[in-house]
Amino acid sequence: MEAILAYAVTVLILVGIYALFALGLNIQWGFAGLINFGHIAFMAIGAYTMVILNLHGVPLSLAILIGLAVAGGIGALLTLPAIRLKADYLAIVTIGFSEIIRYIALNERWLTGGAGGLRGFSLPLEGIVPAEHYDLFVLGLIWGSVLIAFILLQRLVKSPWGRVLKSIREDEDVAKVSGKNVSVYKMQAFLLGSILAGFAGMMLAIYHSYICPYYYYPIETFYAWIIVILGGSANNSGTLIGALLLWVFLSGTRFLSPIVPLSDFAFAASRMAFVGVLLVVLMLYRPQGILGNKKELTF
Amino acid sequence: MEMSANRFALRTQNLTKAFGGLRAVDECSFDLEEGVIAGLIGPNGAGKTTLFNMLSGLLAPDSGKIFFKGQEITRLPAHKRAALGIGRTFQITHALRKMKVLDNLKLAAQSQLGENIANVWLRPRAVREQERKIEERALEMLKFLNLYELRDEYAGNLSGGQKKLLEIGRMLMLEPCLILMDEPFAGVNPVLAEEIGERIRKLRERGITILVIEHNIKRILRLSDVVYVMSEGKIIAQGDPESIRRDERVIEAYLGSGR
Repeated sequence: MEAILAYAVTVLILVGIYALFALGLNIQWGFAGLINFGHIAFMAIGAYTMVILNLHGVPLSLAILIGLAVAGGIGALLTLPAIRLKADYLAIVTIGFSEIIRYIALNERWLTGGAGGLRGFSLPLEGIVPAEHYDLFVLGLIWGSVLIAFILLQRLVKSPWGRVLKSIREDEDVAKVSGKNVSVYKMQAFLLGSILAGFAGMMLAIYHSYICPYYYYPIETFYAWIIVILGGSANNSGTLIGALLLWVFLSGTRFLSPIVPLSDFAFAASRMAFVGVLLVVLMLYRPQGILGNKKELTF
Repeated sequence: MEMSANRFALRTQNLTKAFGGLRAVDECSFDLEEGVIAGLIGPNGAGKTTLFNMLSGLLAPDSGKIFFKGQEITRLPAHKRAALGIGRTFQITHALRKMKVLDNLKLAAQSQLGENIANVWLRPRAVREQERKIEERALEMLKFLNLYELRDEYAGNLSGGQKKLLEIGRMLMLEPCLILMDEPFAGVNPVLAEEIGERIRKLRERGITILVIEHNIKRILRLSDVVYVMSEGKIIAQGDPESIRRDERVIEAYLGSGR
């Protein structure tokens, strides 16, 4: 019983982290129509900034704030060269950027600890929250953050700001001749999305009390994409559901491993293949995802 | 520049835009007086839409200058021109099909508090209050355009003519003083075309300057106070409809000179 509960806590922590992560992508892709294939980079930037600063003596809370600012700032800056580009080029720029970040984390050992990663940074309320309940505390911290992020984002997407984003998603020229500074809105979408990704990265770092470059493969970006598309683009509630479904699937199928006659490697690969098939079927029969609005589907 | 500059809503000087070897707009200069309906006619490929794209800021000219009410706007980005009061519609309607009719209009209102993230979070009441006023104005506009019943419909479900009206409405939400309309009558049934013409005259009564691209010569001569004829990237003739009707160069441009 205890083991099951602990396992549920683990899964819910991951759901919450990926919900925050995917909510960020949903602003960029779902509402503004910007293709970001390098979302994971901002998870890495947020986490590494927090950890490195803290290991150099910066208090954790300040390190978190700086990490959010750095992730958001770099996200906004990345749109500067990319914003003039058409959608597909933005995709290439972002995925390239995320690999650059991962390779820096892997190779700049003096700063990032290289492949060995970094540990020994301080954790929030460490020593105050009893160690045996620390996972529960992290769970509460993450889901509290999800709730706040969700409420703030819902206000935004229902506001005139959200309306401008949707107009950009559909037709930039209309937004421009309607007096909207399109570049600024794109930058804001990237800023917000990257801050959320950075925060999710910090939570993951805190949960593991460890970071290493292997957390930041491009596949993580595509987990966020699966979550957003599965739940329904441009629907924040859908993103939460998508995150839940993806992690229930990824962690639930793990139990099937002993009874499926495949090697561990083949099994892991076939799980992802199954997710792929599932997405294809979803696109065929319900392209708007679970909660998405078919009438507003821009793809 | 000149003392009379402000009489003109719009002036261009030697405006040029080439695509590869083709000079779509070629040293194009003209003055547009305030408060008139001006027609812009010319054969296909004369450069009319390219000219519009430069006037509205969607396309940067290679050379030449654009003045709006005496102020140079050649390098001003499109959104700032819209904010100054230059509105435009497109030849192929750019209705936001995936957004509701009402939202299409509300989008174009200027200086919206709720377009600022901080205001949305910190001043929700002020944002809501302004949003209510914008909605009232948008609903009024929909009544003016006979689209009120369709306010909650997705714009994609509107007919071609209704989309044209919607686009006009969205442009008017800017409260423009100069509007550029690219073929507002194209693909519109005669009754609706008559109605759109009527709306355009009403806009002139409000003091708005209107520049209309149109292929139907009869209609444009009837509607306009002044007509510009464009051919091969240049304004080749301008004048009141009656003189344009008799102008040799116009007949030549349209019917061909046998070259």
